Amino acid sequence: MGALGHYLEEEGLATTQISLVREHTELIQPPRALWVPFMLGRPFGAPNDPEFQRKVLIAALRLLEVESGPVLQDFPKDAPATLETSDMEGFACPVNLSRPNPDSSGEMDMTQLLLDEVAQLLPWHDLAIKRLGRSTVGISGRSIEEAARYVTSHLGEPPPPSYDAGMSAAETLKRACDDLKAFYHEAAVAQPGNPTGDEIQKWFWKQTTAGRVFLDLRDICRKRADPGMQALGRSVLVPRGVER
Amino acid sequence: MVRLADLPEWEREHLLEKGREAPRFMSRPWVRGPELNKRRVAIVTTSGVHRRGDRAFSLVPDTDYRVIPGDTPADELVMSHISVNFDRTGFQQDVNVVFPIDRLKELVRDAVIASVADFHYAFMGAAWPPTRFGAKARELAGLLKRDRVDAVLLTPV
Repeated sequence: MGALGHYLEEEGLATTQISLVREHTELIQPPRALWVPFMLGRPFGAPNDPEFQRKVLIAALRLLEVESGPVLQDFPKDAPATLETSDMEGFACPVNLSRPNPDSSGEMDMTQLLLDEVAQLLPWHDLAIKRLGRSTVGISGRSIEEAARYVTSHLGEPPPPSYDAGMSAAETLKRACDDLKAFYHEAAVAQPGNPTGDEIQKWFWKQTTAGRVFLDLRDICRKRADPGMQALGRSVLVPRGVER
Repeated sequence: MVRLADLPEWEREHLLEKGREAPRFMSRPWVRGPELNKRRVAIVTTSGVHRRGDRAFSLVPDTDYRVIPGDTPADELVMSHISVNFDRTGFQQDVNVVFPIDRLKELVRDAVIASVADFHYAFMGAAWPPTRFGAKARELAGLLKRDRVDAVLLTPV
């Protein structure tokens, strides 16, 4: 981010930026940066909080009026969500998700279990679309059921081909996985209890069949001959620090 | 909250390692401009956001960008950043927590800024080191100037 600021400014355009990792910004020293103490993924602090977002935005834009630089200013407030106490002690999805027993295995079983789970979450996802007015699901170009089937088909042998002639199988698998995760996240947000982002992550990775499928997939992809699949398994399917 | 000292060791180490590869520039460019209420503002983001029908960002990080027309409805925006190590639930609930297009338009209404650009741009910031973005940034500069932009808001994810 800081390098973009440097290059654009060299070309005669004034820039101001949000900094999420202060240490990187200190090293690169872009012309103007506002460091914000928010979680990665939320540079303007909190969703659905226009007033707070506006304060962050104006603080960043006001740096354009500073006389000389480089300037790195700290935004003085934490995001509201991090100050709230969640309504519940850890989010537990009230829908009775049928996570398989540890000894369950086999592509068909996992496919059916995942499809069952998706079906149970569908009413919540429908509600999410009504409330949010949108959904970020859709980059795979598949229905959510098709995406689920495609993801679990990669658990078996031989691995399936790409469903899009213009993309590698690793690319299509990544997109199907992204759609599944977005579907689960949006369904969770619609449920009672106002779960935080961290709580939704813990729920997804520890309590859902989808989370288990992703973890299995990570291990399988690491062993594939395809370098793209290996890259998926190394770092692109499961966040650092998530273990079974 | 993102303070490296507060992060788990694996995340802290990853970010520190990236920092060791961060560029150190010798020059300190600084462009002056009119008062804020006379500025035309564009967003350039590295969040991997794009319109639903656009090509998703590649699994092999490159420096391509996607164009986001200023009148793109929020429900048309999706994200295909390859990293799984940041929160997406905020963006899923509200585009503006990553791409504050509605907030910018409100600032025009309230005369805090003069106008919002017709076009905004999105990279996928996984390409590292960031010096790789140099050529595309210079290309963008020409496009932004043609859009009469004189202030660029850079937003990461």
